[in-house]
Amino acid sequence: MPDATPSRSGLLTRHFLTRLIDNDLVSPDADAHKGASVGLAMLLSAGAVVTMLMGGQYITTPLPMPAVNAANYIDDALIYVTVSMLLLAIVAVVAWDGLALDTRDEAILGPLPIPRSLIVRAKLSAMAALAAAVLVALNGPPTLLHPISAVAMLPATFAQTGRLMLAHAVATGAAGLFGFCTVLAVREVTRALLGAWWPAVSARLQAFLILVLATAFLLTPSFFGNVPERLAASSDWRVAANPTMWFVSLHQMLAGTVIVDLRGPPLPRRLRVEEDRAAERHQRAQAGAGPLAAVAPVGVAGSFAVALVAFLWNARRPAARARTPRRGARQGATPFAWLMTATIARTPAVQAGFFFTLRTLARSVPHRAALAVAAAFGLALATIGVGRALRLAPGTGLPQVLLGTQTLLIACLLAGVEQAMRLPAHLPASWSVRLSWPGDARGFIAGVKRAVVVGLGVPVFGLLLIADLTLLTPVQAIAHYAVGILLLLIALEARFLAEHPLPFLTAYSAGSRIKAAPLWFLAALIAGAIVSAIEAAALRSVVGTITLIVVLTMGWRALVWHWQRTGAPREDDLDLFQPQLDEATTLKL
Amino acid sequence: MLEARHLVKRYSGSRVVDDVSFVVQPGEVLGYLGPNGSGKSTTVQMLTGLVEPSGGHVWFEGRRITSDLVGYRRRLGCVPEEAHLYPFLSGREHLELIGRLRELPSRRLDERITALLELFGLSDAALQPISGYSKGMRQKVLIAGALLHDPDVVIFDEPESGLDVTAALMLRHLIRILAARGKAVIYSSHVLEAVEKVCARVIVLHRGKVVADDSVTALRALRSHTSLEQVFAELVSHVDPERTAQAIADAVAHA
Repeated sequence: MPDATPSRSGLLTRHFLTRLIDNDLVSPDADAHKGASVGLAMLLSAGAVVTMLMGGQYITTPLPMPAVNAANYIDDALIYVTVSMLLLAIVAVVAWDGLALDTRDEAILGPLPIPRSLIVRAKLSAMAALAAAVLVALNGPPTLLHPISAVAMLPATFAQTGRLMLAHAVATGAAGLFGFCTVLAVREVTRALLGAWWPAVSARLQAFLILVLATAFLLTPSFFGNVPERLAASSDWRVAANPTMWFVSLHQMLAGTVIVDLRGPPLPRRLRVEEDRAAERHQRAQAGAGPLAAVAPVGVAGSFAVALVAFLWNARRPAARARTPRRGARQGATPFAWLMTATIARTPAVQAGFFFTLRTLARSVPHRAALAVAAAFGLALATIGVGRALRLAPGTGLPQVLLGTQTLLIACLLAGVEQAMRLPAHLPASWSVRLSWPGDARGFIAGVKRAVVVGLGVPVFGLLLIADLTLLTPVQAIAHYAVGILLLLIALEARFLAEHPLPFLTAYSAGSRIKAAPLWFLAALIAGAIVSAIEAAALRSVVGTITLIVVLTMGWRALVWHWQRTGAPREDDLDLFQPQLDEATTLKL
Repeated sequence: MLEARHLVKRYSGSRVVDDVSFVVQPGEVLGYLGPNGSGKSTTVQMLTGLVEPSGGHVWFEGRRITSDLVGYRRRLGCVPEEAHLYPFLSGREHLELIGRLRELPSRRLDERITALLELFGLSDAALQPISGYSKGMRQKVLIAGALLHDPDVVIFDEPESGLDVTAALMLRHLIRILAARGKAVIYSSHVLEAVEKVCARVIVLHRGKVVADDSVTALRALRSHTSLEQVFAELVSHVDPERTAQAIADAVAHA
């Protein structure tokens, strides 16, 4: 039946493609097609809008200068290449579980009379389709619009504009492919090396990559600018080791001297000097781009080859079942669990909320992803804040920007926690909690709050403390750390005074708060400025420091007292579960 | 002790459970039998308070369970039909969560969990995530969780699902011992052999309605059959199983 194979292949490819875009990280409560359509539309419109904004500098000038345009065009190339590379890598990380044949695929497709090679090819086709769709949606509008705007005021021919478009398409496409293939290569090589241990590591690696890539994405604006100078210094290992510079070089080699060779209008003397300087910068960049441009195709081919070989190696046999260390049931509590139950989680209900929160945040993939994205925002802001503080001249007093960073970090953590606690830990399993529910939410929620402070606040502020110790005195740094913990405690108490879901247990209907993110960020900026000003004044003296900590402690205790008196529980907290139980019952029936 | 009075559950107008009434006394094991879709699990959900009846009420010790649902559930243990558990928790962690929510003191909870995990043969897997458990292992975790707080009423909904022969035999002995210790036990199943061996009294449900409610011996005598299986077939089966099987085989063969 020669005509049967293509249809089966197409069917499998569509099935795998749906699986790639339909996961809990992207659309926990929506269907895959809706999520994919919205995602692609957002990429298309964002690309077009950004291109128009960036093209303004070329179009609005009364005196177009080819060399200046050419130099700026190299700066722009870095932005497009970096965004393409990082976004495609992020797409690959988000589609993580769909990047290989998993145990579910094996269970469903394994018994069917389909050649394994056909299944593997369909999986690869689905991945290629996903990467291609994102690449086109992301880079399509800029490829068409950006070269046109760069030469709009100059006498460029169709062929010259076409060459710029081709350079843009090839460079951004190759960068995106490199990003996607690198993530796939990291995933598949790690999987090949770990074998049966892979399932235990997979989600952790995914969370780590989300954190790294999102942080890199958010920090990219600080790396833009002076790209021609960096290209000129391409022999410097810091430039040569940066993959984005390979693709900028490739772009430059393909675009060549198209823009700089165009004839502009006569310029006044002052502008002619600027134009000549830009021409020199461009010339040096062009010379430096050659060696790095050759690395780009090697990098793409290398990452593609490694990813493909590792993928095929792993796909040659069914996916391994999870293996974890076999330890006895008699193993007692860990020192950490013992310490927590002896100190901050002493009653059974608090222990239930405390340990359930820590385990859900650490192990459940959607929860970990929500926190990873928020943490990435926080780390990016912290990096910028610490960087600015480091650049301050010595003796300028307490760096307020550093003090404010902690408040912004708290805001990011709270946003992540808010999003995470609105996601049910595992909807079908909530019956077990409901049947054993003690009828009082206070203990459970107290445990949740303490887990957030111990599991997130203490280690994240600890990272910041390392930076603080280099810029503040030890007493100031530790006091600043204590202020951060107290502020987090106050913020959490204040949050639970308002209407709230039962963390990790109420259904998806509680909804997302992503739309409120800009307002939240603005509020955090204002709060950060106010808090850092107060802190800067207080930390100058021991008395001020003690007073600030005492006031914050009293404020926190007052909120706790108020919450215990008025902030729930209801007569029967079980109604908090109701939406998902009705839903679960309906689904089951 | 536990009484269902005229329980009705309607979904989209159709009566899934239709006027079901029974009483379970301490020390009694009540078998709740019925074919697939007869309303057994819906009854169990109403008995546990997870689903609100469309009509009728569940009473416990002379009071409606809704008057103090939390108090009632403190004395209730339940093994549901579906083994839905938090996949990222280990078996031990799941039992810790349940025990803590039931406010069992830490030391006692730890001892009971350790003992139950050993007795159910889960010691080696105690700290592995439940996502890696087999169906039988999950079922054992459910049973351990239902008994953790020494409940007065225990409801088992298809408890032998996924269990191997040894574990199923152990469960039957366990149910008899629980009853001997004064627990009221409801055993919902379609495994007739298990019900016949474990339960003194049986309710047979068909399309949501009670079609029989008597002791196993009386039912057999009344219908002049030697086994509960024959009684059950007569009460609920209106098709000839052998003929249906033949038709299925033929349908596949000629497809």
